[in-house]
Amino acid sequence: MLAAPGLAAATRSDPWADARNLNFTAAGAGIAPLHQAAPNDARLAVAYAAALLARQPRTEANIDEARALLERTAQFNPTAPSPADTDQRILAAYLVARIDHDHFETPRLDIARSGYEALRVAHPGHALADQAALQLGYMLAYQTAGLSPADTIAPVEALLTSVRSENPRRELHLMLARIQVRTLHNDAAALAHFQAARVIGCLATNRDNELDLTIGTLAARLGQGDLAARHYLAFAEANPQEVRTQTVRRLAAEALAATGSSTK
Amino acid sequence: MTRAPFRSLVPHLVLGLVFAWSCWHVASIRRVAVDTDKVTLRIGHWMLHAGMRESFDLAITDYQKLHPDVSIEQIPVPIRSYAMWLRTRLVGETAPDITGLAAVGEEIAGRYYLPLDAYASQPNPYNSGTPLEGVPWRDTFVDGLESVRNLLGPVSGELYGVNLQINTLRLYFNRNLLRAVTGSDAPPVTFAELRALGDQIAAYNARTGAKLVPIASCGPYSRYLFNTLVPSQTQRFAVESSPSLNLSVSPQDMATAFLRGEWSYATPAFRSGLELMREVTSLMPPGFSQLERDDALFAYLQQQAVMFYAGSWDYGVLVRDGPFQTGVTSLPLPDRDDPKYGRFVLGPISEAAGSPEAILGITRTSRHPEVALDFLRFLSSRRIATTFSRESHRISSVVGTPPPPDAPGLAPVLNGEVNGFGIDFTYLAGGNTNRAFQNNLHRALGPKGDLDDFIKAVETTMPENLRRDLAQAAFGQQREIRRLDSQLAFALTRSDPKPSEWSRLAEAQSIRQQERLPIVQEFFP
Repeated sequence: MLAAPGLAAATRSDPWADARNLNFTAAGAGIAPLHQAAPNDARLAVAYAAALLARQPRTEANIDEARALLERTAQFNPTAPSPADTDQRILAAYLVARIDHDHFETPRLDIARSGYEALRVAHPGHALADQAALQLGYMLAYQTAGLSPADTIAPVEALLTSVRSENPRRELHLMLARIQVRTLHNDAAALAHFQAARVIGCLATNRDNELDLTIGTLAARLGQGDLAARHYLAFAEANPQEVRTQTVRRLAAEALAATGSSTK
Repeated sequence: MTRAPFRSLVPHLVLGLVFAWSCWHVASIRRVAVDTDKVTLRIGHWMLHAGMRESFDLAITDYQKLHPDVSIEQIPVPIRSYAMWLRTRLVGETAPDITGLAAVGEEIAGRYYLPLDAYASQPNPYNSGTPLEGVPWRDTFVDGLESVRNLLGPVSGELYGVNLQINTLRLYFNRNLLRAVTGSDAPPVTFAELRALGDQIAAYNARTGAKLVPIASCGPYSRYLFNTLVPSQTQRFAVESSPSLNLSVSPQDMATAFLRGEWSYATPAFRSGLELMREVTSLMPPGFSQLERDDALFAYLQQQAVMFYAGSWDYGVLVRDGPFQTGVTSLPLPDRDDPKYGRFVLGPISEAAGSPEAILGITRTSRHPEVALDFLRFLSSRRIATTFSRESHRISSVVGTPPPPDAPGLAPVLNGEVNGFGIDFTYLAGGNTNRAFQNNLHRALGPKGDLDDFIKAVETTMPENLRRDLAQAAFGQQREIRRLDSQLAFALTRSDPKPSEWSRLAEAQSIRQQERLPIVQEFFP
């Protein structure tokens, strides 16, 4: 019988493992005594607050408690903070804004916006400040009354130019692409953003492949047969047995034929 | 008189005896488990169809021969009560070591099942001496276990189970009856031939006084049939009008297009799909939608129907219980030359996706997870998969495993054009729109069916139903977005934070936000 030592280890109790298994009640119970023993430890305070946010039953009191704890953690000034400790306090500040943005039944959008903006001013270039920019982008595009889709493009593009981290850059490109293609019907502008997102690349299963199809379809629509075929074929090579593959190969051949090339 | 008091004691005595017997029964089970020197492994599943329990038994016997220190017990549970049984066992921490994963989402999978990713990249030792020797376990499955991963761990990307089989849907036919009606046992190949066969059966009935039905069907299986037929009419539409420009249409895309008034059941491809549904129901028995699977199966086995549209999982019982030879073919769909339906068709469809069946995972409460893993590897080895496929008459998910020798037609067709999509909103959250569709379907079907009446009835309540369903979808997305904030926080507070974990979770949250926010902005400002 093949030994599989990791399996036994996986069953041992560990709050972070519990959280990874989506058992936030157990995670919270495991972290609570650690947090009580070291209330100024930012890492434990953030983890305890995260468990409070997700554990069942979800209550407004737990959310309030988590927010208050995170706010205290973000504002606490230790005498000799380590870089890791600073990161945890930035995370606490980011989570305070996330709570205001998405966790209360009635979102506190103005407070969340101020929180994200303050984070960007205080820690420019930090990965979580960049993530805050992405959240500001969502607010601009979808949660700002009176702003037309066309009006959102320039401010979201401005956010994009200020961001260096890959995840928010890719997602801001995809947000702009979606607005361009679905609302403003500007295929060329959308194509550029989809391509930029594809260059960054995705971690989610199959998302790059889906982007290849989207780029292929848009490029074919714009008469860019070579580009369309390249992305269609990238999809087909990555998914030789997918239900769409034969159709995609045919579309690649048609796109090339339209430009006078061939798939050979 | 002492009779009356004695009588009043009888129920108490009976209850007492039953209680005592229950205690003895429970204690004896525990004693067996505790007393033995053997490792006892239990496997709970719902696959009671013909051939499945027998196949498990064969595999268990083989495994026990190799490992005399291990004893494996099957716990078959009827599918109707399986979800409840499983949930109760998981929550009560009394689940078997291995269970079938049915009606389980990521939250349950993550909490109660062991992740198998680390082992999926190692070779399966039971494939030694086969062409799969040295191949990572994951790659010994036809789809690399991607469908199971997407089903059980779409956000985490974790693998919580392996599927032993793949399901397909097939048109089964009684060779004797078909020969009696048409003079040949060759099944219909095109939809036009299927229609013509319906007429031939009607003529045969008139000539002989028989009461043969062309296709045995029931409520759930008719929906399988509709959802195979109708996408032939949305095939071209999906490629040309996919809102996500990816040759497919998600339930949410379809709902928003209907709510905006961009699409409706008057859209030619959709109306044609409804026409096709109406036409095929003329081949089914009256009142089919009120029947259950067993009614349809019985009608076919009793030779009251020439054909039966059902799953590959049903083939075993047809072979075992049918006093006649059953043939297997794909449902004939309209082709591009069909004068009525051909204009919406791209071509024969690919079944490469299949649908994963017999998904098994290891529970976190298992006392012998390493033995459970070893048995899962054994079950999914080429040799056992071949036996399993032969004995259960089902399609194995293991690469290169031959289909059941008596039914190669069960294997999925891998080459073909992309399929279209169903138009009954089956997969839209909430289910209100689908319910309205199903509840009004009787208006469209049958000899007196009136499509316009159906469309009017469904579309009257459709905006309200779609809004309720979209609200439900947005609510589910909101829950995930919130939960992902906690997951992200935990990922960044680990003593050894992994940037890739944080990036993957952040991306998963972004995907949900991009799905939810446009819906909320447009329909629930």
